[in-house]
Amino acid sequence: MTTETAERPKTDRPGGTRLRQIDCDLHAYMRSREHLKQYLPAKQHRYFDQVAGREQLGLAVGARPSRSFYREDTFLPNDGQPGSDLRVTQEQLLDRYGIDRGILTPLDQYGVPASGELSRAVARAINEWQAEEWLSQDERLYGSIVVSLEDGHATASEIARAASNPRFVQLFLLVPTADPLGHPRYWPIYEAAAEAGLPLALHPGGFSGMPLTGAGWPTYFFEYHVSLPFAYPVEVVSLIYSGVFDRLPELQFVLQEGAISWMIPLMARMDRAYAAMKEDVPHLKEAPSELARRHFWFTTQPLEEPTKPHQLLQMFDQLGMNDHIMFASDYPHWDFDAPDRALPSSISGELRSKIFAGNAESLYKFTSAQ
Amino acid sequence: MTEAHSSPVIDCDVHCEVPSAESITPFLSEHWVDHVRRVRFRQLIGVDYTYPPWSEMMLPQQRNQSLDGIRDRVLSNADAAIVHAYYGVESQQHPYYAQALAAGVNRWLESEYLDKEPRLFASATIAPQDTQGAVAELRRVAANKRFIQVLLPARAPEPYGSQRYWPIWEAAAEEGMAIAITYGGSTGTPQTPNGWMSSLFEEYTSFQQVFEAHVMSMVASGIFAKLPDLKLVVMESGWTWLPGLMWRMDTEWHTARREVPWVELPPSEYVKRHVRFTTLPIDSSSSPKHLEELLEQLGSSELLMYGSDFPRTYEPSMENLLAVMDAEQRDRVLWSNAAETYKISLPSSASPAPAG
Repeated sequence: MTTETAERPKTDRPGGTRLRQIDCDLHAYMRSREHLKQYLPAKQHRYFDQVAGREQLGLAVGARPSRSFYREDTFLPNDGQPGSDLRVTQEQLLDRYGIDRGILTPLDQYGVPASGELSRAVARAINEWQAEEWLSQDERLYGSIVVSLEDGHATASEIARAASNPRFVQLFLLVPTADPLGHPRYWPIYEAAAEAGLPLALHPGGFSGMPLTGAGWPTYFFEYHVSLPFAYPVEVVSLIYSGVFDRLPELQFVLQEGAISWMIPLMARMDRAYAAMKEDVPHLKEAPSELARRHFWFTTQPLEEPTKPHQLLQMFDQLGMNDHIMFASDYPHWDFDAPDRALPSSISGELRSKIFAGNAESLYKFTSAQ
Repeated sequence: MTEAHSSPVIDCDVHCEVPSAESITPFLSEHWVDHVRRVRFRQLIGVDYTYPPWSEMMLPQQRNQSLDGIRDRVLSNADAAIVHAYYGVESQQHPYYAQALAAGVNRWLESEYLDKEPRLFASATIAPQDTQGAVAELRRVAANKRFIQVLLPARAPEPYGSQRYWPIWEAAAEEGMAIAITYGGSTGTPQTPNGWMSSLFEEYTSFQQVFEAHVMSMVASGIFAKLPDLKLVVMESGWTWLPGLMWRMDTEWHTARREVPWVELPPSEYVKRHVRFTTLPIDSSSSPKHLEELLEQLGSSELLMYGSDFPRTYEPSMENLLAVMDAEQRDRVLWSNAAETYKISLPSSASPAPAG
């Protein structure tokens, strides 16, 4: 949300072309655990009931948010799960704002451990449910392949299976991860992603077993929510250091719901350290900021909101990644950004249309003609 | 800095190094002297972990950090300097042993630096894992008014807004001392929410989130509302992540106010009133335009205090930053912010020159 009053969306631009809008972080949820079980093999049901009956592990162990995650008007009748009814999502988001394409990001992984047979079965269930109940029902929607994150090579077959449906356009990984993402245990996932030609989207909400910040557990929801991006510098540094981009030069990572500005000091610090610590990074052949600018993307919710909007343009200018920023609404969460309120009017013209659609079209290889 | 400046200069981040265990044993009780001998104590692990001696990044020229070295390299350009000797006491779990070593470091600093050179002030070492002992050591050193703050490592098992630390902050406020959080530390907990990293390069470069967690935690905790005189000094942090953190906190505060009602002002206001940042390193390009924009985004000329991080040197340098500042900003960053934060009055020979 921007605090200033933004312009209404320009549905008709000079020349008659409509501003296309692609929502890159649209949360879809199953109605209930019972709903998910329809997609699980019967032998998994009992174990699933036991495990998923517990709260989402990371939030239960540490900073359990003291408030609801959802926009009040997104609850279905009888406190039904927000984001679980395609018709409501169409009505409240896709139709209402004229969203051309939306990429589903299925956040809830039901407290299931991030590895093992049940984890793989749940990941597959979430992927089948997306295809069956969302992608086949609304041609504007695209899917994100959920994987059993800590399982490494065991995920490759599910990635290949799900990716055979071209409406799945990325992999979806929750951070923080158990190890920084450059760790070799994750490389089989990257190889499968590269094989399928898909980017990987990272999103907060995972549980690594470690406190949510490098200085321990935050106390309040306020801190929890500001610290959503704190895993990202770690993942970026680790991926760059690991050399995975040398091995898989096409690999792309989307950093969702983590703001943007932190990348600027991070790139400067990495480049300074790269120059001063050659003995530590003999395998890196180019400046880390080059790799960062080439391999990482951002979604806009939440975008920084300086009280002076021109400082947002300063931030974009220093970042130098105008081709890698993509609009996201984060529907149905409480901090939802409506397309007509997501960006201040100071972001206009070509940059605005790139953020709303052009950049996503380029990353996901969508053709711009609807 | 190499250029001469017309205004006085206070260097707020100068490192000295305890040369050996024998340097501090004269200041330990018989019990601990016996202990360090029996365990063949050389150094706590936090020191080499934070500043690996093999890394050129950390100590580019192995400069002389003795009093003579500091007179020669630091006080030649500054009217006063604040020294500290990071000793890794947080990396020793034994609370009384850690606190005894902290007291030893402080007594050594007093005798080798403060007593011999009136232009020096110091950060006292405390072991934050032992709240009561930390308070006791803080009260002890406060008798010497040239201990103007206590030093804490950024690596911590719990962020510093946590109530377990509040008695330390209350004592600091009562004694008129600031709290300093500096790069590094070793507490046995990973420095990232993703666990342990595999290289110094990764640890060093991904450190901003640790500082951010502490600043955010202190603001959210309400300690600044409770102790209106408390000052937090963030040292060696890179600091250019701060505008982004303030923007994010101010936005989130609008919806978080019912949860943290004691945070009565926008979080950035508490930062501007209570938190100060030493200038080096500067995690930015050297572009004057970028540096100028960052200063504008800070929204206050009171946030930065010159700190050389001696013996390290950096690009962008302090000169790059001063070049985009006006005379008032230069005065603030070179001495008056520090003089106000630490209530330091400079020797009369260094009276402020007229601006311009």
